[in-house]
Amino acid sequence: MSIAGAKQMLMDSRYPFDKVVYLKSGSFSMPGSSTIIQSYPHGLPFTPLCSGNWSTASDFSIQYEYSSGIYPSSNPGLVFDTIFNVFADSNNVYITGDNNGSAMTIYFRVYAFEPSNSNALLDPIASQGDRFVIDSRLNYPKLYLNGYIDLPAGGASESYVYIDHDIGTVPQAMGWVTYDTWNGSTMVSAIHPVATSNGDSEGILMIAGNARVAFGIPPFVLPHRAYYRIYLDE
Amino acid sequence: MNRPNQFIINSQFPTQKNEDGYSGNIIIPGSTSIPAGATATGRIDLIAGSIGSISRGRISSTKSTNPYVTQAISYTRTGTVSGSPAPYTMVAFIWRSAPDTLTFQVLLKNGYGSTLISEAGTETIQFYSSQFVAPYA
Repeated sequence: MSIAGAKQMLMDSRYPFDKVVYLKSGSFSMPGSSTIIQSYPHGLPFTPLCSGNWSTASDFSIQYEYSSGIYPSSNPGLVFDTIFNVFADSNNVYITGDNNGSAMTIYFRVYAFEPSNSNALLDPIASQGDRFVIDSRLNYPKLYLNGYIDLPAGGASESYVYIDHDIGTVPQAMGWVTYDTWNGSTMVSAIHPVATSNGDSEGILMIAGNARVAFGIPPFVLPHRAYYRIYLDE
Repeated sequence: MNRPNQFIINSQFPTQKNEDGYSGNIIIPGSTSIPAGATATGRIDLIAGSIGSISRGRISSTKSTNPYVTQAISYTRTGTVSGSPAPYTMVAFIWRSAPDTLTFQVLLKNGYGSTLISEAGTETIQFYSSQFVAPYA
């Protein structure tokens, strides 16, 4: 069956379903005019690939993605008044944030995948999440490519490293980048979602096209490992 | 315990369930006057997904050679302040502004102490988002 045909199927045994191996929800108090880093031990034998959302509402009736947030900011140098990011290292999941507004309670949700270079034995977590594993009314994205690539250091101008997929349409894609520092502190091999700066002016983009995806490397950044998940689905 | 990376499907781990895909374009007129310290906004609200739905999205700009970026994106554009070139930040991102509402958003921030005239030429920001059922209990 062609790729085009596989995309029409509820499932295809050639392409794995996503498996969420970590879930975390919680809240914390965020002081006004402050920055924060919250850490949560994940207990996994690898560094997970994190994503998720945050909110100022306990029911997530208003919901932001990490690397975005509340606007506008009264600070002329900032677009967002309050913004949060998520990343992980070998021990913890971190929620980091900047708040230029008043004190508030922050609610967060994190879900994470296992990197392709791991084959760990894991405890099941289906009881922590949505119990309906398969529902024929919904589409299940089919994981087409799942891996990592070692990016070179940035040169004098922006550069790109490409991963061919040849699907023919722009696929769903997710990416993460490994940094060794955060906000000037050493944090070896921490994995951040793409485009979230590590606070040290290193923010690598992921770009998707109908034949390949790419990691965009800003000038002069250090070499990093990048992880990607590319799906058949658009 | 088992090794989920060895399985095509594994009912012991939540999976990602795609509800539907949504798209929209925000057109940004060129040479727009933005008062000092203000943020100009463009926005599309769609009734889409449900409370807590997560987004797997992509964003592109007609002024960028890149096809799509797969995350919130910050662009640098150059307008003028008092006739002199003035770089400024434009951000495009996706969020949920209400329980049933998916929002595509563009922000143009004037961080200067005087009126900013935004970059010349119309720019279209294209959004696409797949909405997923949240994997949490």
